[in-house]
Amino acid sequence: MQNIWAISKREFSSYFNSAIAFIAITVFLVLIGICVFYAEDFLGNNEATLRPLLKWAPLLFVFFLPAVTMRLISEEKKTGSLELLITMPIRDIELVLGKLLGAFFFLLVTLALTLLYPILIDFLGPLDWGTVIGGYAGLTLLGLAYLGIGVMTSCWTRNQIVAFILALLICGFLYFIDWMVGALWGSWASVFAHFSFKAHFDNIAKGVLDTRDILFYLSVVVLTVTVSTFSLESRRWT
Amino acid sequence: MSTQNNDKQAQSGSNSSRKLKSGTNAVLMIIGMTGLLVGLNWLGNVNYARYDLTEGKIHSLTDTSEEAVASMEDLDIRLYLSKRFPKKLSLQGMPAPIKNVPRFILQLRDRLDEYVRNSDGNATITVIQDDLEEHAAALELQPMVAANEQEDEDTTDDEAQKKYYIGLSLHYGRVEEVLPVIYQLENFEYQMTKSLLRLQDKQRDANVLRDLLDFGKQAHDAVEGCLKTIKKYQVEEDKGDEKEGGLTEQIQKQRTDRSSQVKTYLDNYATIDAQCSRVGKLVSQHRDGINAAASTSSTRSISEEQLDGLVDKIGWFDGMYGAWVASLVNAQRTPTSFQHVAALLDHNEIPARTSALRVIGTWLLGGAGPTGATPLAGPLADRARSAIQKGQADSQPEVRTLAIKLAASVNPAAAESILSEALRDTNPVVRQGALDVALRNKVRVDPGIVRLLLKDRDFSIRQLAIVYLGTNNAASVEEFRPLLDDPDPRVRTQVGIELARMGDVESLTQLEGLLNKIPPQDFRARQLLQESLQKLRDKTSKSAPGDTGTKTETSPRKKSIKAPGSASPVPPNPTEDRIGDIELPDPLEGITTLEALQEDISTKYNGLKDSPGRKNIGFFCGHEEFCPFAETGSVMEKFPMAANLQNEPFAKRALDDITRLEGELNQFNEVIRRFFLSKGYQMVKVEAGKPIDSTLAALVIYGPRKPFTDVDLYRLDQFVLTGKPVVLFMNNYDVTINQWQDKPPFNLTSEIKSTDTNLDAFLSNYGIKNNKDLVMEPERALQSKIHTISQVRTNIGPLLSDAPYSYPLFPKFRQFSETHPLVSSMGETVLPFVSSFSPDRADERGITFEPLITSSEGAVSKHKDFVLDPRRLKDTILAEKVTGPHHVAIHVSGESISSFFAGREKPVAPKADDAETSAAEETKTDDTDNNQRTDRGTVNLVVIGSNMGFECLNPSRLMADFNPMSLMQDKVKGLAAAVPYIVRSANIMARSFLGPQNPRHRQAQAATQLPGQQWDFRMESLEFLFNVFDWSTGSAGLAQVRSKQRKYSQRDLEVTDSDKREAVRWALIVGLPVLFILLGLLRLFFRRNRRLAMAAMNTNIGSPSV
Repeated sequence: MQNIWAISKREFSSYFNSAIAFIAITVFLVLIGICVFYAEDFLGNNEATLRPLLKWAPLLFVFFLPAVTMRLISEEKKTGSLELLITMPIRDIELVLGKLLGAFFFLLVTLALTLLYPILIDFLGPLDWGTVIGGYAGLTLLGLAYLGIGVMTSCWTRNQIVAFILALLICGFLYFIDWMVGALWGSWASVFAHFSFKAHFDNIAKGVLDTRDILFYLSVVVLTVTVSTFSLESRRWT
Repeated sequence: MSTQNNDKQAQSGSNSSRKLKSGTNAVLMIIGMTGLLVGLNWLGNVNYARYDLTEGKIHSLTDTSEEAVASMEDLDIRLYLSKRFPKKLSLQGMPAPIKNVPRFILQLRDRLDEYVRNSDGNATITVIQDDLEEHAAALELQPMVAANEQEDEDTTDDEAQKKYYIGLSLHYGRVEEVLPVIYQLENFEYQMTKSLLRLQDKQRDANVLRDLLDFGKQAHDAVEGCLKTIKKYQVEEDKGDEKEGGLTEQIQKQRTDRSSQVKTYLDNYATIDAQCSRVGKLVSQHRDGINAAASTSSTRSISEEQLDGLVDKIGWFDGMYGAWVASLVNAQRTPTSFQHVAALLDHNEIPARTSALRVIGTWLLGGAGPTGATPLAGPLADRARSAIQKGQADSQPEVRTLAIKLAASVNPAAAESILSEALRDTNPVVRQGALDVALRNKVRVDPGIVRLLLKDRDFSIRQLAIVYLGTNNAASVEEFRPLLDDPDPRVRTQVGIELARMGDVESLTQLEGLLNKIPPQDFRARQLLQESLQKLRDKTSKSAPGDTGTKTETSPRKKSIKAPGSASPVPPNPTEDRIGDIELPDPLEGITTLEALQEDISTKYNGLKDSPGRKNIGFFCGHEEFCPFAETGSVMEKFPMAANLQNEPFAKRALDDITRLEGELNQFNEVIRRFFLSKGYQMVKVEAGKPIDSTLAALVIYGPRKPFTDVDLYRLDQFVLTGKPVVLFMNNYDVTINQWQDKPPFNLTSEIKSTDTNLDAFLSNYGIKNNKDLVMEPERALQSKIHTISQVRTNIGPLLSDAPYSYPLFPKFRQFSETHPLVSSMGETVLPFVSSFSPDRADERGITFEPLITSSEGAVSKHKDFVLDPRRLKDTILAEKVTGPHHVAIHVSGESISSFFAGREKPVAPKADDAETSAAEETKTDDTDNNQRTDRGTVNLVVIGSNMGFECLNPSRLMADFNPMSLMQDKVKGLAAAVPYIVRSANIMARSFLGPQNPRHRQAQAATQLPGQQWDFRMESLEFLFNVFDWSTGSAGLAQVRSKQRKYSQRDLEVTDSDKREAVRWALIVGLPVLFILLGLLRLFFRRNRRLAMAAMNTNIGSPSV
């Protein structure tokens, strides 16, 4: 546990020790603001709701979070520091979890910054805080799942760009899977809707905490951590 | 060396196998983990928990829904889903409400699962995807189509044509409910729970109504079976060589085909009749009372009424079937087919008997005609004659009349006696028919009998009698003169013509006076009388001065004078006449009629099937209330002479448009009624002056404007004391905003009139004081776009401005009773021109006075000096004294409450003049009058101070002042009251008939822009209205389901200050990122300083001086 914590702390600090985090988060905040107030015409709709934010944030996460995770393992592989870690008494799973947790804290900081939205919207009109809690729970779980995928793809390659693209594609696919499959094989659409990130997210974002949705996202995280761990372990197989 | 190589190889091989082994293990572990997670998720789907964090738990079932489903054992829920769906679905061309179909279905299943979860295992869901079209047809599911958006290029042509279904049927015991389409999830719970509650009612009532429903089904199935059997023998048209040959050949071919089809039907008549005669037997069975049961319950009486209506329709079908058979025989008259038509003479239905008589009569008289029929001779002819004779004694006047006519034609020698006998018939239809035949066929009947008919009750008989006697010179002027005072103008005119023709100089002055009274548009009558008067005047001027005698005998006329409005000259061949019967349908087109009737019967049958559980809400009509029932008859019936205006271009166009307008208004009311019916509320008209049906579940009096008579008040009072819900929407003021004047200078004006309904004292008895004010909310009102017209200069015309005004006279209310089920879940409502109520010694009377809707404390109440113009009001209201809060909707209840008429004489209803109002009709619903009067009872009365924008839209009211005579002057008068409503509902049409040159066109044009006070908030008002209906029919829990969604989802931004809004916008788009960057820079700054400090410290430690 200590190892995980140490790694996560280090990762988290490393984000904010450079300008990358600030740039990335700033861009995210600006984009989400533009989407909410212009693409969704929040003030024009005259409704006290967090729905516009919850509609666009997951989409932006598809790009934003893979960018956050792309260097986590890839860079270690490329710089050779991963071999150094082999010599240390750190298990692969601890490494993966530590990296994931570090990225997760980064995500929490980002989400914390967006809390100004419900605060100010509530100033404008009566916001249903139940949907706010649900929405942020959904964003947290969805984000965590994306991060898991990002860590997983980062484990697969030394090239950060490749890791980013892979993570983006997987996250995007899983977000829209029901829509995409429905376009091709209509009869299978409802089956694949169970695997859709968006479908599960929408349920939670409504303000309904459903154990099925929570279990789904946590399952994704567990699966990606498992795959990541075995990916890392594979370097010992030679 | 080689050993080293061998070792290396061995090691390499060992590494590979280890790698393979490890890789395989890893893959297996991953698969295993995946399987485990999938299993876990599957388990999680079966056993899961949901926590609805939303305010009002809008995504969870309400208590009402949970209780409804928990109490139903063996509820079968069937979900009909198409196998494939396009990306987006819309409902028959409407904007796509379902944008992501797979997700929609997932969410729908989720909601259905909630119901199943709460049913404690009593409910099951079955998804049906096979044979959907059959199910859809049987259940009348509503299909959806792929969304039709221009930018949607991915919708294939196949998808665009195809139908998709998402529907539900609920089965509980013997009854079922269908949700034909589900395309919105927001109101799904309401629809579903409402259906569940109706199912419960239906099941409970179905046991009571089982025999009625079974019989209805039997009769309906018999009709279907009959038609199916007929169609079985329909010969397919051979279209292959349709276009071959010339016109003559084609006509010949058509004739051959038709003849062949008729023969096929006749050849298989036995089979057809075996099936179709069942229909008649069932009808007779019902009418003979085999299925009659005492109406011991109001539930049963509703359905009995439905069944009676259905049986009447089926009887008509049976009759038309008979007529169709007769038409078959008529097309191919053979001795064999004579048997079929002879059998029809004993048919129960009139159309069948009259058609049979027609065929027989035609056959007997016509013999070999264009159809090439075999003439009736010998025993068949005798049978035909005796059939006609039998028809003369038929119980129905239509049949008797036809038989008499035929008898007179078949046996001219006996015509006189036959017709004379008929002239004494008790039925006016027969008397008129006989007289008409006598006239047309020039049959001399006993003039004495005809003279008696001069005093007949029926004006047309009197008229015909005059014509007959005049034509046959069988009456004297002295006998005719008294008829100049006949109450009917048509009789007076006719007798005037005769007297003039007879040269009655003494009556000349009276006749000239009569001529002046004939309306100018009654051209024909005027012309005839003028001609006769002219002849009389000529005659008078030629005759000697002292000669004032009246000639009673004149030379026989060579030409009969036609009665005004009479048909063209009577043809000598009475077989062409149509009096008293229906036209024989074409044998092949007759099937179309049967099909149309069968569809109608299906609709009525579905109504019967649906009748259990449905509750009747009575709507009081007769005081200019909102009365959503189409009117029978036409306003134009008051003006029969208007038919003569058809020759005038403007008048004709206006009349056509007015008739169409009337139709649209009736249609609008019918649409409203059917809309409510589709929501499960059966509205029943309660007419002023008539008893109130005691089987009604609730009574609504919607915005009366005219006073109630004492009799009506008494009936209302007695109904109130039954404890059944009564809802009264008050309409204290009649307001029109910015109405054009209907005369120059066509200025804008606003008008307010107080209405007097005579209900104040009545309400006071029940603890309610009607304050007769108008309540305004200066701060909270409907943001309406009030369109106003500014008259700049007369020759330019009005300028239209479209400014949004917050109109305080359309106040918004947000303060609702938190405990009353009618309003506790409401978020907001608008009540236009609303008045308030106060308790009136309610406590003393033992009445509970509960406010339902209350204004804010900042509300203003005014009783006079109203400012209606929105532009002025928004300024003047600020200076008004605040008087709130005011109660604008209240509920009073109590037990053992004293009647309004306690201690007073019961008011007596005036005797009905209309002799056709049968005693049965009077007593059927006359519980309030014939039962013992109630002096004390339970009260459950809701009063709302506004009509919520629903006005009276009945043509008889809106067109009450209409005068068709004005059309002669190219004007339309008397429709002023109707214009705003007319134009709103029939925009273009109103303009078209008024014409662009007509100054009233500007009014119409402007009126289209006016704030139709009844239109702006109709949809918002409907929600409250449904709440009221649900409450009044006992489904209070249902009101909570629906309103709950709107209340918790209607979250408007309350801060309207645009500066504050913009501040929030820029704070989030720019401020937040900038703040974050600043924080970052700050962090960077501190880190840099710390690093420099650390570096400095390190330098100091490492320096030689240390």
